[in-house]
Amino acid sequence: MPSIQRTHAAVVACYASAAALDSLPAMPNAYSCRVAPDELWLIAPPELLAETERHAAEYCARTEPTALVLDQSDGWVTFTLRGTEGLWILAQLSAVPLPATRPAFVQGAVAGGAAKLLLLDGVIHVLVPCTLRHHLAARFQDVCGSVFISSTETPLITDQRTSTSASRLSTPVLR
Amino acid sequence: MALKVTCPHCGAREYTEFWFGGEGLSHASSGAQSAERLEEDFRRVWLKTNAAGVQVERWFHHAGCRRWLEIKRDTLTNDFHGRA
Amino acid sequence: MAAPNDETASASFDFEGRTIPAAPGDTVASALYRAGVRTFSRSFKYHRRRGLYCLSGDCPNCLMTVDGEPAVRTCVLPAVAARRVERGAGWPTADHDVLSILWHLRALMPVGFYYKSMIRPRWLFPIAERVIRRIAGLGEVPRQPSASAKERMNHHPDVVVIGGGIAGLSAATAAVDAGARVILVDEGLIGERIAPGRLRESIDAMRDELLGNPLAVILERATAVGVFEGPLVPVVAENFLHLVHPSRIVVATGALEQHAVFPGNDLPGVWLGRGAAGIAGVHGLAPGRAIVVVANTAEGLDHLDVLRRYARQQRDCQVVAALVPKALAGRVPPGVDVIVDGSVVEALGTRAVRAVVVATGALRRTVACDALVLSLGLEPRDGLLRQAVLEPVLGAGDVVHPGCTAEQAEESGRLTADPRPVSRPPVSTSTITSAPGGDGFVCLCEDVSVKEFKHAWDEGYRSTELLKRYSTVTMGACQGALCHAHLKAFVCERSPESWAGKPTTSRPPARAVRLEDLAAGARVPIEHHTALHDRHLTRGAVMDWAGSWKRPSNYGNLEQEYWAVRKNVSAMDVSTLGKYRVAGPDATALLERIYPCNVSDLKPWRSRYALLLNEAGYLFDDGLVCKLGDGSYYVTFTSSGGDAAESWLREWADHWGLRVHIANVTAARSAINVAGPRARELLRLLSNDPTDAQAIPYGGLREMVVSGVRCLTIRVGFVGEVSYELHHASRQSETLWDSLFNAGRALDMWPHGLDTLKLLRLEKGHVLIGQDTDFDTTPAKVALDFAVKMDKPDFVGRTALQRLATLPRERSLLPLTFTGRRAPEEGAQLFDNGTHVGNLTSSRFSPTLGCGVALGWIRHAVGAPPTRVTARDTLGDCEGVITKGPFYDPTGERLRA
Repeated sequence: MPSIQRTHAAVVACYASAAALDSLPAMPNAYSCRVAPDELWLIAPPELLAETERHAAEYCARTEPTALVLDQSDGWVTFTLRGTEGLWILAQLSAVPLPATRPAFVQGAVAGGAAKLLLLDGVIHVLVPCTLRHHLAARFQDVCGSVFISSTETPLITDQRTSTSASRLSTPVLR
Repeated sequence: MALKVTCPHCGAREYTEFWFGGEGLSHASSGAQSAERLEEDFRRVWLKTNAAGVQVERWFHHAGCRRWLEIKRDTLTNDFHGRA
Repeated sequence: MAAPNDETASASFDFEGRTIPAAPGDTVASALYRAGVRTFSRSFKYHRRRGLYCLSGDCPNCLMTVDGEPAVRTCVLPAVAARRVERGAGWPTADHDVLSILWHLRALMPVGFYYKSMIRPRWLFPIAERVIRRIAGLGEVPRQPSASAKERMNHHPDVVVIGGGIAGLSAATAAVDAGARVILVDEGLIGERIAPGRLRESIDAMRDELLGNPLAVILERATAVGVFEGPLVPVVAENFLHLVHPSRIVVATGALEQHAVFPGNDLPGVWLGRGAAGIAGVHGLAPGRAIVVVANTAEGLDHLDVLRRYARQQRDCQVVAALVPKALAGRVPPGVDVIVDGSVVEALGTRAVRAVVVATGALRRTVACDALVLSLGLEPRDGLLRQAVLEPVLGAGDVVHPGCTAEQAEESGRLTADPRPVSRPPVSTSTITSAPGGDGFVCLCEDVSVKEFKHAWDEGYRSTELLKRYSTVTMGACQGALCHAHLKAFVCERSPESWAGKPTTSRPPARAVRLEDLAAGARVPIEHHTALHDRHLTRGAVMDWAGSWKRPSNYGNLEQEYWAVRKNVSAMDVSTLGKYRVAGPDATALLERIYPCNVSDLKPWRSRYALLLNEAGYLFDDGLVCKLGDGSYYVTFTSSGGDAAESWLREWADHWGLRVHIANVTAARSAINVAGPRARELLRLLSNDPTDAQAIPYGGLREMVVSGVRCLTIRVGFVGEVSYELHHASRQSETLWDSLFNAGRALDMWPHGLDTLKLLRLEKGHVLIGQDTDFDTTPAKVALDFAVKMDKPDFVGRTALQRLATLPRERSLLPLTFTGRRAPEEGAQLFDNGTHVGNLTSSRFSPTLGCGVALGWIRHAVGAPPTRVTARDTLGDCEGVITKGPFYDPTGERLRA
């Protein structure tokens, strides 16, 4: 039976000007994911929430005091899919094309909900609004027939080497 | 229909990930009140051009970055011609 | 249908009560043929007998109901996949069909007869509908969804190749060689219809190589349904609806043999060349005892060979004559009666072919036979190619060069990998140039004959598009595969206008597909739950849809819930509210211009009820604007409007070029509304922070810690009692809820759901956006103009309201009371002395006031609105009085305590 793990991740959202976010220094244990020109998420292990918030807040206080730094961890639940089985499950719930590069950050609809995908080596973290946790779990059951979804959350594990270089999917150039 | 809209932040996605925001920039102008402005605003809100050809339009990527994008689309062929 | 596991195993299936054995490799049709079945279906309109014809899944003759599913092409379905087979039409049986009399009544049923005759009498319509449904049609559509629903699978290859013949395989191979990811789809198993030989070997070899290549995916028994914008090619397979999103498309769907049109062309015993060669060469069954072969092409000669060889081996049949053109006459081996340059004029027979009338020049000859095999040429199977008008599509093989050799097909497949930019697909060439003469069925699916074409032409329908719509040609199961070319030829011969004979539009689906399959994976609606969802379930809440949320309607005891709010204390989960943080240098400017109320004068830790108007001045949402201590804002919207609110805020921020930060915290923050005269008492038990009217006045907010949970507490007033809305982190919602109810036990606390909320707010006279308002409701019409400051220089909708103010008001939403035994139903219509004046949008019986309270739209007649009205609903009439609201706590004393 396939199994899907629920992961606990800290999500610190930074809202600032594009220039300020471009220069936000990376954190060794957090992934910098650019949601929009004026919004950047730091996704980190949950035990580093305070540190990550501080890192972002201090940077903003120095460079752009009007920026907003919010702990959005509570708003999202993370389902972690693994390997080819994970890709097979995701392909049934999402028409979003996945890039070949790793790490990567992709945004789009999964099972109809607005999801963020953090693609790491052999692992895909699917973040959906926490209001959809039952819906996603039910859809995973639908497409797998039977699947074991962990009832407790495991803290996010980051890879020091790659976390600093993760960025949003490179913008396709529009003519 | 499986129209694909290219969001500049997220990439090409199915149109169901977006809300269509209408042609052009349909907002009322700001500034002094006047009879001319009332009529101008009324025309802009209610009377659309509905061009058969390339038009500027807005889409909101609700399933992704949740930002507005302005693009040019040919209403006859559904070809997208990049950002407005 | 059963999944075919072992292709070589014998099986059997039930056919209308008989058990039919299936030999290895049999299709359902060949097994039935082997068992002696010759009438495979009854035609759509005239109920004529139809026998096997194409054996390639292109014609409608073999369509039967298999395992409850109608219109299954039995000539391509493996016998092992079927359990129960029956013919769709025919009463009492397909073999002896009473309705075959319709053929003899055909003079009464000319083309389009139903447009002219089925008009009166109208009372006959329901009866006629039932009867016609039973008579016409291809079987009963099953009413139940199938036991196993499909899911969808998304693919993003570089190229999708549709068709696994030599051209398709070659195209796929060339693409993977160039490093592209390829998906190859085929309706059946690759190579299954090719007889063993050199061609089959190369096909098998190419297939095996592709299977070993990680860039290639092969989907067999997978039917491409159409080419859609995107591009998107949906492919229906056994367990999945495959949604293929390719960059390029190659269509290599091949060609089928031309359908011939002459009187008697639809009789059982008339075969297309590949059909007859297939039944003999592949399945080892004779197409007839005395066979006449018409071979206009080299392929036709191959079919003749196959049949002669079969005849020699089995000795149960004979090729009595072969019609060949002069150019090929020399290639016919001796022993066959060759008729040079002959053409078929008519096939004679009633239940089946018994003779063929052949013309050579002016001479006519009747040849006795019971099988007529036609190899007249190839027609491209180009439905999918013609669908792709704007998509990057290329054709390869027979579909673009009908009749090409295997080498040519392979080459044309290879060429598709050429990285030239692709724009329009090539127009495929039809080989039919002469129009059908005389008579004969042009469209087998819909029973349309040449005579009907002529009638339609005489009536003035003189283009392919009009003829198609009037006669329904090409609209049947084959979707024009057999008849489209004849339609074009007919029109082109008669009309000098070039536009008249243009090809008709090919539309998806290219093959019949179940709606259920197209909805695979998309049936499940999005369902949002709050963080307290499980708590509601544990309490036995009746959950119901509220927009895309599931919310508690009630907890099983409406009375208890109501009195808890009015007398003691209650709590409601209002986490569904849209909630946003708005910050940044221009935050105040944005909100000041978006809301019609004043925002810039809002002091920190104060809130204000705010409306949202669109540019037309119409009300579409409402909520609270709260100013926080740091100068930023916390704004709320209704549960259903919350998601769209983000687009609204951002749209205006973009347009005005404002520097704002808008953070959607709808999911991250939950909210519990604690309401009732003893609400303060309850909070005092759980918090050290002050909750008196001075610390948090009505409309004020404060940060508090309640049971260890940090809350932004807002004094709100929706239900007419003291209420504290506790906004907190979603992760702590259950903790907070539990502690509130634990402490609340001593205060007789009960939760309340939406049913009770709607009554409470109605008693307080509050308008519910969407229930009490229409799309075009302005604030003044619903007495909300206190929330609109027209003296503000600018806000969204201001100019529209200014304009509307000059127009007379037609109607208003007014409060009403009903003192009868019951409150009228919501939606009841209102009458003033027999004149219709409006309708009720909200109506409930108020336990506190002991009467019905309602809000309704009342039309403004000349002068003042009426004071008394009669409400009429499905149960009768109620007498009502128009009053001034609110009904409960009109001075707001209880609310502001």
